[in-house]
Amino acid sequence: MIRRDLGRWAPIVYALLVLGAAIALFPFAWMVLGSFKDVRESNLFPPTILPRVWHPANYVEAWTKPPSTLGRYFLNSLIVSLVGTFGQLIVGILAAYAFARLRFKGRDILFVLVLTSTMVPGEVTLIPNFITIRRFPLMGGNDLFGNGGSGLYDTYTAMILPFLAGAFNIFLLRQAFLRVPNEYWEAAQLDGSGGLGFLWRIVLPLTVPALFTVALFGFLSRWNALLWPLIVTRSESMRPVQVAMIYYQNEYLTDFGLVMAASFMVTLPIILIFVFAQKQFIAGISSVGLKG
Amino acid sequence: MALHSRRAFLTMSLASVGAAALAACGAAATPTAVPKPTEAPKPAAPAEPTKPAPAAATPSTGTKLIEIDYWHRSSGDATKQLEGLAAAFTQEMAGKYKVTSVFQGSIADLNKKVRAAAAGGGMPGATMGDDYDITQYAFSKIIVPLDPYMDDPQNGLTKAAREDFLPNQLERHKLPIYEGKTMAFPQGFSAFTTFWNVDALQKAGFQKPPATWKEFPDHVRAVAKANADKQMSGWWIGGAGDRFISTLLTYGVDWITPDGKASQFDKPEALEIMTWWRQLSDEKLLAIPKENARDTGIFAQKAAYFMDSSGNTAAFYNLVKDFKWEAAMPIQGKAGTQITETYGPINAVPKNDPDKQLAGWTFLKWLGTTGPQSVWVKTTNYFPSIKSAGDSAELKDYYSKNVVAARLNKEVAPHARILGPSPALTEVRGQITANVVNEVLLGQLTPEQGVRKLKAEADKAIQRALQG
Repeated sequence: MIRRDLGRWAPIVYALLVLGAAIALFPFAWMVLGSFKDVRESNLFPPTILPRVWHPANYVEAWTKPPSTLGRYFLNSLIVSLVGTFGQLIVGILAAYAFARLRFKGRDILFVLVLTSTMVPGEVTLIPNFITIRRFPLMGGNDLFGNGGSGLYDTYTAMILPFLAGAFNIFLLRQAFLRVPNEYWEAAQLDGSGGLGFLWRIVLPLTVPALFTVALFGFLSRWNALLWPLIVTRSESMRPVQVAMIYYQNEYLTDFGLVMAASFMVTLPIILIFVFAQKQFIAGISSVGLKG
Repeated sequence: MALHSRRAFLTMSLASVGAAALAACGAAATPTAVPKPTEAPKPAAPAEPTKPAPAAATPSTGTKLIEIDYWHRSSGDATKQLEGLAAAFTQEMAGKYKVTSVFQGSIADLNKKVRAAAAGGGMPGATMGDDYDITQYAFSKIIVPLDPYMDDPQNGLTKAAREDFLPNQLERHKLPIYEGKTMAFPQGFSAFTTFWNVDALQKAGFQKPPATWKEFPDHVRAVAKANADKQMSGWWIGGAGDRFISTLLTYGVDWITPDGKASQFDKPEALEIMTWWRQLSDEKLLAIPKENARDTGIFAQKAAYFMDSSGNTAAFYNLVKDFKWEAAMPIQGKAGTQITETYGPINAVPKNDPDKQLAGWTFLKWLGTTGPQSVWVKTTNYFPSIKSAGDSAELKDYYSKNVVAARLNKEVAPHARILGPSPALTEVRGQITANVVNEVLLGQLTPEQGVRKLKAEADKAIQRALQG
């Protein structure tokens, strides 16, 4: 069907698509091939494409080199990414539903206020967020006023909590929820459903692509987080994979083979998630009129 | 609808709070076990007072264990070595002090964390910082002067220990802008150094680099001509801003006036550098590669020179197999001078409770003794800050295999000094100078316009920084 539509241009179109795919895949191929090079070859200029001698041992060394072994950092990233994304979805869904479908005084002003928070640079919120974490009442030895202990410092919670509510997610989900016809709500009411039932049984199933998009963005941002985890943790056993990635870099001599091996292992879950969820992701992006 | 919706909204809000609480479940893990040190460091010598000293602080007299963090930005193998050193110190101070070494990311990340902790609590007992960090921290009054500790009869430095330090390092942050107080204590350091391809120079009939920058352009032209088969250029400059200011220092001109209120880019030496850089750039004999490709020029024999940190000897030993290389004191602006710039981090004691401050100082003092210095030098390729470490048994093997580093330690390390400190240095060096140098080399500005712009923008940055 497609071939017939393209007619005689098909070979050119396919050639361009193959070229585009090759360009997109080149960095991944470079990473994988680089992960098998030894320290000298990985620093060569001009670089080699294929390793002269293959060093699969890079993967073993990359796994064991960080102080808590890469596995521990993986686990931490997984916990923070999954729990954080789940929490973010809950908060985002409820807030978006309120802004999309509930009527209350000051709703629109409140929504604008939420949106304006996207304009505040992360650097500005760094210290206030840190103070909130350190002085969290009744946690980590703190008293009711947040004094005396370390609060939520050096916990998973510290890495998760400040980012549970995100204006972008609320906006994205609100746009998706607004597309659900009001007649569905009236029909649900006739069937005796309340707001939560309507949200759970009708709105969410109809907006799965948007939910996927929010979840994927949320997971990615947590998986790739570096500065905030560094700020709020001190124990290696609490830190995520992105912190582990720095351990492969010495000040004057970096073994790029190790860096590539670790990068591949760290990137793999993200690639797999995207491969399995790309249909929903693209549908989610297009359904709310956003372009990447 | 409205009433129903309000109830639903409240229910949902409660559910949201519940979800947040659920996400908040997660306990702090215990710190990871620290590996054993690779070498047993020598115990610190008992302190002898050099002069009557004020009390360092008023720590408690109890016997409870004082636990502190040491924050640093040394990645890779250095992270593990610092964990080992902290563990060795803890073992040596059994029951008195416990130090946990904590990696805090890059220079910038570490700076952010120290500032966050200064505002929110949880300052470490000791922290690493680069020179401009120390100046910022001192101006923000979040680190304490070390003189009371250094002079303390019980916990201070002995006369012998003081004399063992390289003077430029011990007094690296004892400066007029701090009213003469010492705000940081040295560990290891590196210095601006000239590396070159011996084979390439010999092909052009040279045995070594020229003594001064004035001779450098003609020298480079001759080397490039003799190595035309390799299409070799002269120098790939990694980090234009850093190298411009380092080069200026080799002329004996610091980037900032001694009172720290204005830049010195209006000095004729700045224009001289900008002029010969531009000439060589126009002749394709000087280039600015991307930051992460700065050493590839010399490794690939596409550049005869590499001028950067002395710590790069490790990379040269590991990566260069196809040609002979050497390193020495950087080429000087004027004949007969011996000036180079100190690179690398230094340590400070943040404002804390007196017990933790004393613990922090005690750890830093211990890091400055022969054993820990040797471990640190072998891992980082820095110079030791104490003279005795260079000749110690611990470093004998290292220096016998790394003879260039051994020679640099004797010839370059004693002459290294820091740039004039200013909270504006990061911006002036990393952004303003780098941008202006690029504009000049790209032909967008003449060298004269370049130094004028550099002077104007640097002065504004200094004033902004001084106004806080």
